[in-house]
Amino acid sequence: MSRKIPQPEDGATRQTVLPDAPDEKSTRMVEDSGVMAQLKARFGDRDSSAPEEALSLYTLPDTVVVGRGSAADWQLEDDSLSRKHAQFRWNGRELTVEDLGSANGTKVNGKGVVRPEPVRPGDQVQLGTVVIRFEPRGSSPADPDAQATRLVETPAARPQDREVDNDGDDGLAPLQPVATVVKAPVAGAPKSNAQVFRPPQSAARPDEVTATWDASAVLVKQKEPSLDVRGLWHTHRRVLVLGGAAAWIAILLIVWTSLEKPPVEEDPFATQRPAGDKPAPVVTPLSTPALPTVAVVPASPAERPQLLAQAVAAYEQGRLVDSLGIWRRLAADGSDAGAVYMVKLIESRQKQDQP
Amino acid sequence: MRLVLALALLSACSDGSGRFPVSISVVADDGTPFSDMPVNFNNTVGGRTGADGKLRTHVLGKEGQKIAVSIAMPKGYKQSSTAASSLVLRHLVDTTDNGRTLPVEHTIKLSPLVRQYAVLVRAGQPGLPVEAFGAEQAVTNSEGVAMFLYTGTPGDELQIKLATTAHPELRPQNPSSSFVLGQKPDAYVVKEHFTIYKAPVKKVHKPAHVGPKKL
Repeated sequence: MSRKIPQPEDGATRQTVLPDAPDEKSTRMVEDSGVMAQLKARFGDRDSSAPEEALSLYTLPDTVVVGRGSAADWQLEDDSLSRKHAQFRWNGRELTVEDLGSANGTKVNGKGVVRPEPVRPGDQVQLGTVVIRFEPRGSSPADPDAQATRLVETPAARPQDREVDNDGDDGLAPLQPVATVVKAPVAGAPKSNAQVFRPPQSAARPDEVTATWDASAVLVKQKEPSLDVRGLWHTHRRVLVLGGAAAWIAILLIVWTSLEKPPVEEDPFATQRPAGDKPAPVVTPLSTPALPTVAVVPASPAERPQLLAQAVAAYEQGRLVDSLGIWRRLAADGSDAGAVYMVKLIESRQKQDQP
Repeated sequence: MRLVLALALLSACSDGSGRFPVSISVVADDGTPFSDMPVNFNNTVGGRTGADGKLRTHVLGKEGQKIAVSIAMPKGYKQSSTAASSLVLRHLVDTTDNGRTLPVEHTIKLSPLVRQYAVLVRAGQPGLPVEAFGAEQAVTNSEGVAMFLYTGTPGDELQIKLATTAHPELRPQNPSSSFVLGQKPDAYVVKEHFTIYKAPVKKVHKPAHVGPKKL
């Protein structure tokens, strides 16, 4: 099933389909009323046969800010991300990424981003420890969600840019997922997805070794689609009128019942409530859903000295996220009281730093 | 009879006096509750805290009256705030919950007299003993790194020394660092860069030739 971009009623769809660059297979961007592309977020081990942990579709306007804070357009809950970490911009010809003064920096293919850098299919954009991989066309043929996440073009696309439809359902050309977020690897993990995004030459970098994307990784926010009030009124006028009347009746009933029964002063510590009084509603505190825990591989005795050196160096340099990952490995078997202390210390600091 | 009771209640309420629900929490500064702690109101025992570290009771008094709240300090702890612990009686009502009466909440925070701190040492030299006030605490590993936990009183000074007596070629010799222990758990990093000292080789001068002076 392809997802169509809604067209105006007059049929004059304004859209631009990127011509393929001569030296690369284009990741197609469809521009329609400000809609540039759709990003697919996927968490988990790509090598695993288990289904993806989270999947969501996002519609990008011209500029998308990715970060940890609520002000970001694409909000990812990860300790390595700044509140406003990086910005993706579509300038009409190419997609660029710009670092917004983040603490852990932004890299394109392992190279730090100082000024807006173009992003091409196959590139890997790393925000802290989160890696967004821009897949080239046809790189994930077995992707079970490819149909749900691909970009589509409308029939008004230029013929030379049209492709042969694979699924044959609506005559639209299949397009590829633009970006995939994968979790960063933990050194020594039994199932490593390092080949997904880690450049081979940087395999031994401390940043990569200590980067963790663990149970705290969760996609927390999904942008609501923009509300077309006028269209909603035209299509659902009867339902809206009836719903409004019902709401007014409900409000009047609530007011009437509250006038009937004056508020009774309750003893806040009373164990028994007056007969006939409704019990207090059970308030369930809002909490994040239980996340799949990522098993921490305990450090072997042989690698403990080196890991301790890395942990101390990372802590001294203020790289708390990296340091925490190593301390967790050292504390995994519970025998190292110092490592357990450091894990608690850093975790409590991170909780305090959270707004 | 009911009329008399109502009048008595009215007269009691007219000057603001009555029963005020209060909730006293006794917790450590890391949030750990203290259960079964006797709580005094104006030097009179008002009850003991429950498993959640809270005492929920009623206090008789007047609106706006200041009540001193005190506890018998548990061993090894002190009160975090030096200010006098007291609460003011107020009739609090939750306007969002049908006018339900709310208790006056008061929290007493306690902090331990001694704490644990982590000491991280980066010396770059393996086999160096790490001493705190002359007592050996750890030895640097093969990567020249050591770590240990130190228990001390917040505000005290901690002196760490890297004992290099067995390595006379290292410079500096027996370097030391000092820290003031914080009020919260913390980790202190001792970083030292050693250089190898090579003693200068003394030139052996040949004895001057002693003999007849050439004319």
